[in-house]
Amino acid sequence: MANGNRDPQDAIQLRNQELEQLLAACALNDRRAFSQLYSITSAKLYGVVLRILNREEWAQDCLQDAYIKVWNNAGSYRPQVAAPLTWMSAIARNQALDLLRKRKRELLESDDKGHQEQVDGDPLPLDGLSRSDEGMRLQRCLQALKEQQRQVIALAYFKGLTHDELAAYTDTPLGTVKTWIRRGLDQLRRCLES
Amino acid sequence: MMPDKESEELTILAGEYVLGTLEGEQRVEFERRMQTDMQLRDEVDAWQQRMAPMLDTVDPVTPPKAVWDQISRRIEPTEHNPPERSGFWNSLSFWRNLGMATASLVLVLGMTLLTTRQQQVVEMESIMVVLNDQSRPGWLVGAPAHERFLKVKAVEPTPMPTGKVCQLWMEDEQGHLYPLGLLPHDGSEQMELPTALGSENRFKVSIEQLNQLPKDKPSTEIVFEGSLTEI
Repeated sequence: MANGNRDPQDAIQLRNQELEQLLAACALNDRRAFSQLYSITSAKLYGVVLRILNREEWAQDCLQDAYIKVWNNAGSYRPQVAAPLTWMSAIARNQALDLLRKRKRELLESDDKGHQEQVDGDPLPLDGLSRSDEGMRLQRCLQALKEQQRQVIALAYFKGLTHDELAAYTDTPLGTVKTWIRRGLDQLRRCLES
Repeated sequence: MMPDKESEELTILAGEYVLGTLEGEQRVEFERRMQTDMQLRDEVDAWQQRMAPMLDTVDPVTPPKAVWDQISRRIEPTEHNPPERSGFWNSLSFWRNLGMATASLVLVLGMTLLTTRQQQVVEMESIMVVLNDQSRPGWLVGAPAHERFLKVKAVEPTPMPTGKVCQLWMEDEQGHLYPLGLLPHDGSEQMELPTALGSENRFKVSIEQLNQLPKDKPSTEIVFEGSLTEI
């Protein structure tokens, strides 16, 4: 069958199968498979860490560490829990948030407060979510949230902002921000499960 | 079963953990608890899944080539490669030590970063995933090109009662079965092949008594059957 005739769903499944096999080969120490895996997935993962970290230098260090984790932990990938790219993206995002937390601590410990990062106010363009069925469902549920709830959730997810930082950024009392997040998450889950 | 209120609280806490807003002591405490609490891990996995589409909104950006060069250098095998653990037909301790913790997937708890595996590196030509009793990947089997052995790695092996083992068989075109070895309970193994590998070869797994391993055919029913797929 020609590629063009394939159902997009089939294409995704084929790609997932390919990635699952490459991960299995990585778990068996196959470096060529790892290099293939990298060439297929690195642009996606670099996009993710760059979005979170903004700085290319940090993002490149972080991408390196994320792939070392993928290589070292390929054997613990479980296809029944998540698609390969979801798993890898979660590793990349966690790695980026860890780096961000570390940098913030360093900044606090030094006296240099001059380099506060500019936060991009709308890190989540909701249109981008319409690329998949799950995305569209999430989009619908996010749109059902209050504007501020949606904003703090997106800022925490993509920029790793803490409760305090979110309160400062939105100029809102800390307790209110905490409530926004808790209620927002609860509402989001109920909506996604309905 | 937990009271609803408490269970709902945990769900929200897991959501905050994934979102990243669980901080300091609370975060440490949550991670500590997650190591033993399966339900909590499932909650975290579920939140990762719910939020994953947000990462799809990010456009791909090709990283500079230097990044791969660095990664590639970091996974290079070192000079001090210890030899691979060879057959352990006699080692009972593997089979006694059951109930290996199931690693949560997305959560990436305890992921190693600094110590790369120091093992012999082989390029695989084809791969087979042997399913466990839960129909999930239990072992990964890889066949290198032009070699007469298979590499087998345990990922989530079927727990076996003491004295019982999973035996891997290779079947040739004529339906003749060759015993290859025992599927490991953890770590990886290398299994010699009796003949050169062909695309027609199929593989089977039977559960056997460790002290009465059959040599010509499985003594019990086949619990898994599959073949290698080229990658």
